[in-house]
Amino acid sequence: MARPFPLSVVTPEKVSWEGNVDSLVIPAHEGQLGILPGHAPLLAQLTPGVVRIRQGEETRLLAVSGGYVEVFGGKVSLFAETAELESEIDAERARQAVSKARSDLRGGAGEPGGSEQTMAALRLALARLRVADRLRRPPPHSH
Amino acid sequence: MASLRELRRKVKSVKSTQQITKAMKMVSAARLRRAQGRILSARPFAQKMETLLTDIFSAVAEPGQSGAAVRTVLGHPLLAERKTGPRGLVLITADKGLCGSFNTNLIKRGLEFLRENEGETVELFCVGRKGRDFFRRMKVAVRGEYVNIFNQLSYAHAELIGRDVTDFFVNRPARDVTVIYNEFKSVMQQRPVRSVWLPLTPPVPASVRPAAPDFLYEPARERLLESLFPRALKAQIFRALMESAAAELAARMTAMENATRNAKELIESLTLYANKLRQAAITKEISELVGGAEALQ
Repeated sequence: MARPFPLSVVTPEKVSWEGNVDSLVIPAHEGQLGILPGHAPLLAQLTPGVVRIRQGEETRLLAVSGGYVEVFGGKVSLFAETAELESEIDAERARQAVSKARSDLRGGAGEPGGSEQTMAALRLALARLRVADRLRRPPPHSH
Repeated sequence: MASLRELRRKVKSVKSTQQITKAMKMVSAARLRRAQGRILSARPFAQKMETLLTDIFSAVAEPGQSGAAVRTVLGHPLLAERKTGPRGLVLITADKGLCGSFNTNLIKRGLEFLRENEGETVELFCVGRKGRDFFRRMKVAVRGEYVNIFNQLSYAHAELIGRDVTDFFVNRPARDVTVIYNEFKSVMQQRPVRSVWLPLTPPVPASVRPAAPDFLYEPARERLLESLFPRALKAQIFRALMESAAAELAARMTAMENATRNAKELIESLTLYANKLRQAAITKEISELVGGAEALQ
């Protein structure tokens, strides 16, 4: 089996996560994109969504708001404006953000370009919810 | 002449002021250390954005083209150069005072900018309460204000300011957007700097193309480049905000250190004076006693 590769998650404020991972799936600009060890050099833009990081048996979820992923020299760097793990997300706030974005979209009273921003906000809020909700479900493999 | 009791009261009040300034100095020093740490930990992201921008730009731009040609090739709204239209000024001051000439210097530079552009429309964005309060008192219209952000500074603030400034530049449309803020040079030194945020200066394409490995790009390089420009702007804004926050704390630390020292000197001279007065009073009493005793003989 191929060896795990180093991944670093960098936000404007700090390096928020680092570790060796077996694979990861990112919400790229043109769809989900999986990265396995030995991936070709890549620069991809992220859309708001969920990043899945697999480390052995464990899967971590990360809600990102957009940014870039670079694969180069066997290393993967993820640059995102925000990147939050399960423990960092306020599910209640995300839920409110979802309903607010939905009602904004229904109202349609947005300035030009506004609906695009609302869509991005909605996608981010949904991603946060998906990440946060997994935490409350019992883990599939209980030790 | 002040009485002894008055002097003692004064010494006491100066002492309690000194305690406050000392405490403020310590707090600023601790927070400054944190602010400096944040500047450092923000560096990887900012550096990466910059190298990405330069690399992709060099790959897209034909080598040998001038900056202007590249600019028209790209035609990105954040790069547009205009000869007319209002100018924007972003003034980053502190939320609080008691930091020496930190705010005054900035406001002076801001006024200078307004004077230079007399007769033209200048629209003002004030970051920090001190600047906003000043221009409000001066009855200058403030287009955007962001106060009380320095306590919990985060990238979200940079995004907010970036969005407003971009909207002003693109949709107004404005000629340019200038920023004035204090740069954190060292703990002892803060320098007001003035630079242009918009239009963005396109990076200088590297004359030698980076030994580009066969990168896969998603989406195409041109689209990637477009999405990088707004991020580059926000990264610049974020850096300016953090620098200003650190500079404010450093300025406050220095100011409070001076204040503490001044208080110490004041206490010393007041105590000396009070002691002299006390001595004089004692001497006077003794000589009165002696004089009185002699008169009895």
